[in-house]
Amino acid sequence: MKQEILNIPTPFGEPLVLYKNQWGPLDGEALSIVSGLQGDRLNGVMVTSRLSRFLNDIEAGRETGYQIRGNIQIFPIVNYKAWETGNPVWNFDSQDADLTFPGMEVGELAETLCNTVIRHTAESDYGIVVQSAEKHYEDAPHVKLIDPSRTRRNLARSLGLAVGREVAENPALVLNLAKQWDLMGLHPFILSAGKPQTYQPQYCDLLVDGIVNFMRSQGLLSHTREKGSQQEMSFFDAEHECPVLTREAGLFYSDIPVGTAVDKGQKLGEVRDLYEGGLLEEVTAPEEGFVVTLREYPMVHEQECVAVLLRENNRKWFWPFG
Amino acid sequence: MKTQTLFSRNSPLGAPLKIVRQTFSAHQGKPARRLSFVSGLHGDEMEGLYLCHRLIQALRQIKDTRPEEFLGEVHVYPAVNPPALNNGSRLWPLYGTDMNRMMGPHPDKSLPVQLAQEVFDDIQEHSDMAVDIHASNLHLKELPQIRIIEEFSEELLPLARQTHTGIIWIHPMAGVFESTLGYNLNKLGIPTLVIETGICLRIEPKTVDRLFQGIMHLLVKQGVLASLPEEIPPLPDSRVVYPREVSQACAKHSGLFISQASLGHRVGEDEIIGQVVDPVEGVVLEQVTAPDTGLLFTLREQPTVHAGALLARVACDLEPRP
Ligand SMILES: [Zn+2]
Repeated sequence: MKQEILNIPTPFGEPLVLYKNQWGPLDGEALSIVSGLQGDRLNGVMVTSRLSRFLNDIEAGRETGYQIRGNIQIFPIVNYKAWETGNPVWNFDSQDADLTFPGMEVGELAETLCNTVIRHTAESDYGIVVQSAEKHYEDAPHVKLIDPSRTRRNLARSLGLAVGREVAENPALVLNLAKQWDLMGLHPFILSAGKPQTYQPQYCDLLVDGIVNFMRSQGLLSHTREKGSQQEMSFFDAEHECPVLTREAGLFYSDIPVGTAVDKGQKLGEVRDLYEGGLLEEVTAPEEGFVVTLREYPMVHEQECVAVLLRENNRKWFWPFG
Repeated sequence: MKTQTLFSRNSPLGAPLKIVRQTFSAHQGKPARRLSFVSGLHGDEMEGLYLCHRLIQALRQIKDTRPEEFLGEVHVYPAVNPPALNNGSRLWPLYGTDMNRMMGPHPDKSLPVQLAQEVFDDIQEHSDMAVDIHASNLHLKELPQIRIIEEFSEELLPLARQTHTGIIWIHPMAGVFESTLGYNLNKLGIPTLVIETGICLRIEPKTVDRLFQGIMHLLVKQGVLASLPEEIPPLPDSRVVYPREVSQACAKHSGLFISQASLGHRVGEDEIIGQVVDPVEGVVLEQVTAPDTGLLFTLREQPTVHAGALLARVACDLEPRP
């Protein structure tokens, strides 16, 4: 059910209200799902909206066979002001919400919004952030894991995505929601698919199905006949990721879709001169690997990252042989 | 003075993206000590650029007329985030990234990270000590101050005193600092002072003059320059402010903050320093009072506030309360 979790007056108009949806018994296993950290990551918001409809349907008896067994919360929007502008951040504070956690109970607006989410999710067992690639890039659907223990990799397998990836340590990571969840004792999962500012239905289908499967596998949902299943997942650790950089500056035309497995030396695209269109460079894969991220925005500098490959030869863990 | 390009990337449009370092080397032999000055990490903070201008101008004159004065080496990095500086925005506009949240070891190979890393490495390689100069953000105006994270205070406080900056504020650590230039240089054993002054997108020449004089004192005390140029006057000592000596006033309502106080003046506890008003209804929502007796060193300049927003900071006169 939709509940207000923050109601704060604004200087010139209607109050800003942050909502969550909540279902199930408060004492069961608890899952929190968050989207809308940046104001242009549409896939995440579409996924959480569809999940909310599905859970409401179960509660209303319209999804036969299903029962809600655990405590499920969904937080569709966090950076409310950024969503009003359609930009990843609100220009007023230039503050990326996913670099603002844990926030503060009393503070600037971004701090308060983020802290509200932290307080409402603190008691959960699992946390899922649904998002898409950074500005100018597209991600193949995958799950990112912080500190990927065997337990977490096992849990991630029930998210139904073929690719798992370790989140590399960096000094700003501590400001991310997922890292704060990790520090608070939740198992955090970041699901990323597609690109900002675009709704990509096939990706959203995949993420919705994956999250529903996760709920079934962890006993948050039950079904009279079907159980959650664990899927085949390739897991890649952070140190073996391979960024592909351009040699020349110009316009990048990619030859392959994101999510392609490529061979060493395979052409990924080319860079052409912006003014005259001439070929400056063929960009090829330096290694065999899975293209998890691909440049969307064609204008590229010299040494610009146009793709990230997850290297097959360092695949660490492969169900069912792991 | 030697101009060196430490970072260069060809752009698709033509003019390359370049960052330069200005170096004044020691007159003879090995430099006694190497000091670096950095500004422009945030592209809307202009005071540091003008300070670098004053510094380069003065050092060039000394180099031309009395080169023997240079016992040590000075490096000035006057504009380390050209895309944001050209845009007058805190963030690098094409990527929406904050360059002072990308310092320290970072696995990513995006262009902003490459720039941050190469600037960081260059400063590390060329410095025994550094000064990172910032103006405040869009919202708050600050008295010139050096900010020191508590864990580095023992080493940094004596150095900060040598700059005679009006205020030295020793404050607690927070996650947000972990990805900053200052924190990461200090962690590597390169003592780094962080200056905050004024407000963004503005230059107050008098304030910068005073900071410039302080920097000249620092260069002499550090043995980089043999003597203080005649025109630099003696300066009063700094006021050191410890964590428990700072009190802050936050907005209880959302509205417009109308200031009735002057930055840098003394205020008495409960003295009215402004109002928060509702411009739509024409009512005064609250009288804002000074949280303590002391020096008003931070004051809200951008009037639009949401409840919780910081309005003022006071460096208290009295002993910290138990
Ligand atoms: Zn700054």
